[in-house]
Amino acid sequence: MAQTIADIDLNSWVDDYSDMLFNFAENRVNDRDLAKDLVQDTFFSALKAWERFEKKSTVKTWLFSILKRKIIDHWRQQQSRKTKPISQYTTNDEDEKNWIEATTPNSKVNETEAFFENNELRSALMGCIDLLPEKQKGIFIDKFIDHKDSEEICNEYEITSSNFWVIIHRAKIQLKSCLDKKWFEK
Amino acid sequence: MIDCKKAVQLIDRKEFEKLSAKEKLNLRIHNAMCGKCRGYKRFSHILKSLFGKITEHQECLTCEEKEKMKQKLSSH
Repeated sequence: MAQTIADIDLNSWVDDYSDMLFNFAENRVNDRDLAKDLVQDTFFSALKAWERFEKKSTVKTWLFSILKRKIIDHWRQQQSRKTKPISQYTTNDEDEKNWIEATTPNSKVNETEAFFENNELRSALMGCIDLLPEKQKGIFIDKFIDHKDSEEICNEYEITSSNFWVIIHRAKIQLKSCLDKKWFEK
Repeated sequence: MIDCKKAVQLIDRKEFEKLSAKEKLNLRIHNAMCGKCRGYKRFSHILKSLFGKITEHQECLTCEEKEKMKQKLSSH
């Protein structure tokens, strides 16, 4: 017999999944309270949609997919408030010509290792990730934080392997430039 | 010799994947002659290490926060 909404043990949802969901969200939005709200919203949305949940995946996978959509919605709202054009996510070869100028080594980068444990640096880094265009940000986090397989990411975003590495490279260049401003030039 | 565009792609890939012997050799030769790509390689390595630290940094909700969440969900 199908499980109805009344049968759901909400307490076990919170006990079993809230930490995983919270970590996932916190690494993406870099805001503890917002991450907590997103997790809570995820549970509410799951409750509302429970009757439509086809059980083709596990509850955990389903909750993560709801949370991912909420995070993307949040990024979109953020993006619409920014002035930076999404055109940075272009794959036009012309744009590649200037990449080398952006990679000039900064001697201060060498000092970074000394600040590993520093929360300020973590905040600066996550703040810089936040400034990346939506798709670039998703791909970058999937690779660098979630350690997903490159092929899996390519399939998920429907991009070629070559595009994938161009996106990773551009994200790194933007992060370097942002970190230079936010952290190293402080 | 490979160009800088190819070299940075190999540098990026090398952080996550095993390069072939030929790719490694090409990259080594390129880096020996290109200071900018060496700089990029150094930055890439530092960035990867930074993210390693971030991944280790796992936060959890407090018991109190979980209880509040449970209350809100059950009253919904």
